[in-house]
Amino acid sequence: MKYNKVTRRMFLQGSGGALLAIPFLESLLPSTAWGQTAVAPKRFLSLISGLDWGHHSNWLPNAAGSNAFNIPQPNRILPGINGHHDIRWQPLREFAPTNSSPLATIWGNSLSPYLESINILRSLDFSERRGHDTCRVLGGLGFTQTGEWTKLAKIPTIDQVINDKIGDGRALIFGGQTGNDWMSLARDPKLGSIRGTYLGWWLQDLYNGIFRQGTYPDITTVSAPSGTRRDVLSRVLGDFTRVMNSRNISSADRATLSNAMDKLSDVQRSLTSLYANQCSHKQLSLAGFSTGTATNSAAGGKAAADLITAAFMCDASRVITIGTSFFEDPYLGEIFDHQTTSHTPFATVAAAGGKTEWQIMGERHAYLTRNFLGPLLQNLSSAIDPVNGKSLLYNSLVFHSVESGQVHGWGSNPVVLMGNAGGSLSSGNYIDYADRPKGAFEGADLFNKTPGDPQFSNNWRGVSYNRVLVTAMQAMGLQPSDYENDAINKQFLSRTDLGAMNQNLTSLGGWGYPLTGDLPLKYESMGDLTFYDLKQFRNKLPMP
Amino acid sequence: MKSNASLILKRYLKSYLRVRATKNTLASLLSVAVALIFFQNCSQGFTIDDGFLSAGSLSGAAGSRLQNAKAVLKNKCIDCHNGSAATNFNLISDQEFILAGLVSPGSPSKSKLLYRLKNYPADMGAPRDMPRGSSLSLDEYAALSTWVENMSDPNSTNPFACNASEAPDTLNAKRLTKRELTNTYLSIVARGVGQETADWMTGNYLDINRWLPPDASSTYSTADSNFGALHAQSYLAVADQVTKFVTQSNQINRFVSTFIAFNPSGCAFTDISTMSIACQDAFIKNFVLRAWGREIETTEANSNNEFAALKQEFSLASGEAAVNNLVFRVFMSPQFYFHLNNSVTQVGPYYRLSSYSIARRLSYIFTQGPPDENLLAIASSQDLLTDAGFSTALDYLSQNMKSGINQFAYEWLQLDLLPGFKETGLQKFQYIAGPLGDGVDDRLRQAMKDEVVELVTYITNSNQGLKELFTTNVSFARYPTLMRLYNVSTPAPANITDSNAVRLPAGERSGLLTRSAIIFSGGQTENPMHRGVTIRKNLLCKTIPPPPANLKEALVPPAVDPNLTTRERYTAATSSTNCMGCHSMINPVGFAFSKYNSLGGYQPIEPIFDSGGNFQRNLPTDARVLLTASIGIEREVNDALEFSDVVSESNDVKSCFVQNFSAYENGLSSLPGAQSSCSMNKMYQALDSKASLKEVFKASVLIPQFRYRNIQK
Repeated sequence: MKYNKVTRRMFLQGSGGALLAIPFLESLLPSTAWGQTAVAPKRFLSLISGLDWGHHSNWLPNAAGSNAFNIPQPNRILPGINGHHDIRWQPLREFAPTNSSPLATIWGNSLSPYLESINILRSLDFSERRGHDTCRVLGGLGFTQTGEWTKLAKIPTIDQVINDKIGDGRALIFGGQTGNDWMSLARDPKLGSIRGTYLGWWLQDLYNGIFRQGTYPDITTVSAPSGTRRDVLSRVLGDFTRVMNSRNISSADRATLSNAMDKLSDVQRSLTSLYANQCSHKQLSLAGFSTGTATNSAAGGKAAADLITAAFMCDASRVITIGTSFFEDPYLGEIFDHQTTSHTPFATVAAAGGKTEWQIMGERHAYLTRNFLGPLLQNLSSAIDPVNGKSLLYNSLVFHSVESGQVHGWGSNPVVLMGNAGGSLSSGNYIDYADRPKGAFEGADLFNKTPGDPQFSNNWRGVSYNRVLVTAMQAMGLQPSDYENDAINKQFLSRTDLGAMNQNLTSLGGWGYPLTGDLPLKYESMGDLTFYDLKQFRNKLPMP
Repeated sequence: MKSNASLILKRYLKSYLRVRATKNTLASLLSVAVALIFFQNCSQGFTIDDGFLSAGSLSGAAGSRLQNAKAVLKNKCIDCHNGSAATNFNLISDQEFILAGLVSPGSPSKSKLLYRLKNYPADMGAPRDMPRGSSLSLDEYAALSTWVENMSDPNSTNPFACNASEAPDTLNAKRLTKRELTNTYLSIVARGVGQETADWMTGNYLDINRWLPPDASSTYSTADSNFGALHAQSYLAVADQVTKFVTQSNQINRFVSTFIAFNPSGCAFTDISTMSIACQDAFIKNFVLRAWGREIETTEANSNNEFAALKQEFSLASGEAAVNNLVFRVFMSPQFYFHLNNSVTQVGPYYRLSSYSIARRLSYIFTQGPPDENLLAIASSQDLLTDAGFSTALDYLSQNMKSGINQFAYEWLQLDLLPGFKETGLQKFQYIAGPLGDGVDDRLRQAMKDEVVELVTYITNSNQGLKELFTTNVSFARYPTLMRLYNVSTPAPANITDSNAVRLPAGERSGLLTRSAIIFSGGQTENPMHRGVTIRKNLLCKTIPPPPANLKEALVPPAVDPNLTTRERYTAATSSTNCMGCHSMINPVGFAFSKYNSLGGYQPIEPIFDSGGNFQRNLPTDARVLLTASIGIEREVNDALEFSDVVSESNDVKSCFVQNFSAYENGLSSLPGAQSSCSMNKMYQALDSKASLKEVFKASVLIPQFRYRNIQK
């Protein structure tokens, strides 16, 4: 019997003509048929800073001018369902009515034109002492850690998990030196990722890596007209079919070639769709790519934003991880050191006129927003994916956070989600997940600031930070089976020292599990879990 | 190859009688006859039994082979060689023939009973005058030769059996590795536009290797059969760019004319714009032969007239555009980037590879690239299915085994996992690195890797064996920092020979295991546990399970102690009963290398630092270990040199080496066990007889099954 592979491409070519008269049978289509519905590929970008944002007043929409204790909550209530507590929310546009209105200290008006595509989240607590050091910002455990952490299975960060699912190994990494970035995608050994150095630095090298000499070829630069290559590829697929129909072929040969045909069909499609027609990387200004341009440079930030947009548009990458630790202190003229800034947020800097470190770090984040994040959102919102007629911002998810919560603590880690992940996420809101009846954090935080201390902000207990990771992964189309790992929780079964909590933990499903922290803090960390609704650990965050 | 050839001749005769003889059949028959005649005079000294092809008489049962051989002995020999003669052939078992000194198991060339025969093809210095008064037919000779060839040595330690009825490999389609595909492209470009231009392309236009996705496998790169979206994209991009390069207007005429010139077939090429039909045809056939490593099919015999399909390009376009499309299409065809063994002919239950396909298979194993012009010429002029042709091809490839062996060595020794430098700011690191001067950086790491790869290749091409691999004192260091690490002042010459070789200081290091790439840890303190585990795993195929979960600090190096050497600290840390279950196997191997610091430098005394990084004292290092528990050899050795000498004779090392090369050659996703495998059996035999590594590698393909395929429909 002849082998006649009905490729997605062949089906679609045929369906345009003779098949019109035949009743359409959905069962004939592969489940992932690219032309079946206009489903555009999703992109994921994480932007993680190694410097803290400092007080909430720096980044919350309605915090400007308020002191640390009295930051008001959003004014609307989303009633909890299925036992979830109520949450509060408010449209961001109410805080910045026009595109030029400032939103908060950090954001200024840089994000204001895109507020309908943004969520600012509050009261997401690390369920162990801090996200610091072990890439908790994107989940996971650092494999280089010792002590208590070595007892736990290595858990990939969500950028790795998402990349495995949608990225086809084309991840792009801009790395800093501290915080999350060097321990997330960058430590995934199976990737042939493009590795940049620091955001805004050496962009020329990164550009070459993506589009010229790197692991990722630029399929849009076909030397012959794309139509010609597309046509020859049709005949190549015919060559595959003839080989598969030839006599001296094994069933395994056919399976191998069939798989290759599928992949080549996708490539053939890409020659004529979004990426061939709209990939605009050749229009990037190389002038902005000069080496040694730090993030502080507006030109460098814009060039980086352009490069990322081009990588998405040209489908050179679908998952990008950025660490932005490499800031220059504008007052001291040196590169910020995490240890002497984030760890001493209340220290004053004489050269800065007595400003505190958290204030200065906030200024740097404001600079990042203006020079990089704003231009990036502008690019993504203006690039239209013809597959579904939506912007790249709509089809993407930009996950922005920092490596620790309030004043380097573990409560209320700031998260901003940008984009709609292809319609999977609603947006446009400031959402506070605080569960105030559970009260504020008790005991000392990392810097011995207790409630009542003017330098301690109102860290009301909210929900586990794990849930925003779950939310992001599900928005990107992942199912719990893609990221949950029952074995991770079962390791708690042997931990008799953790008491009855074990039994609850073992049912959380991997990504829903709370970490135990470093050894001296484990009881504290585990005890803190009692403040959370464990049955919600695996669930994505409710959103208006 | 009389046994083989005679069987083929018989099959053809049967085929001839069954069906009407066509011109093709007659031509094939004639070619086989020619091959037979050729081999009658051939001096190549090996035979291959293809008895696996017929499931009946040569089913592989040793008894069956012996019965066939004894029938010959009875008919032709025992009249003289009976109990009253000088040598009695009237024996019962293989063992008796071995003990009588008549045969050498597995080796007809060392078997008096064989090389005294009139039929024996080579002059062994003894009269070839048996049987006196009569002669042996091809079948009779084949029966005797096959019997000896497949005879097992009852005293052999060979863990790999060879069942003569072993089926050939399935040889299912598998994409080329990154290195293989890169080499294939570069080979085509170099042949089309010259080596210099190909080099320029890599340096200035397109570094193909960087564009292709990496191979990933738990064993060898050859085991990665994944073909994902990234492969499709990369392959398209590279095909496009290489096509663009070779067909640009200032090169396309040279490219086309060069390929046509290999076999013009009536083409008189002048210009791309005026290519005649003959020139188009010649270009397609010659180009495809080199790109696919086999001739293009020009008929529907295999339900795929490949030639007719490609000729289509010249009807859809003309001149430069047609050539551009054709070249791109060939580069994107499955025959180009898959090992696709579909150029075969059914023989019994299996399929014999074409002569070109055999050459291609050999070429990718030993050169990681397609057959060059010389190998193509051998495949064209001789049928590589015959022992004579096969031997010619194999000898040609083994003249200089480099690329394939380099890659094997690199992956076998897991050089990709060589640690980076760490703790460089600590005082102890600076203490041991200081004397090395400049260059303690990635250049040193690269030099370390290059050195051990060159070592394996040198041993192979200088016809030395496993023993020398583990004991040679030849230096391959050229990078000044590595030279200082090794205490040699003269760089290794470019072409090392026994007479010009630079020797490492006596007593300091010798052989593979004492090279820095094997024992390097990158930090301030060596890690004997890592050394022990790695050497056991890579060299002895002995794995150790990870520490149990309840031993939480098992992988944390023991704390420094100003009064203890590294060995003493690790000994103390692993001395409990809980630990010694595994560490009795790990520690001796690791401790044997105690005279090397973390960078691989020789240290008869170890500098001891306290926890604050302050130098305290020097303590003598002790590398004396008892190997009984660790590798099952009841020996005590004084240092790594003696250890290397001992393991070079170890059966475990031999079998592990065989398993590793088999996994590399066959693209296995895990190391094969001590299973029945004629290829591994042959390799082990060669190692056991102290053959050179080159002969060991060659032995891996010296089985009849290598030239066949088992297609499972």
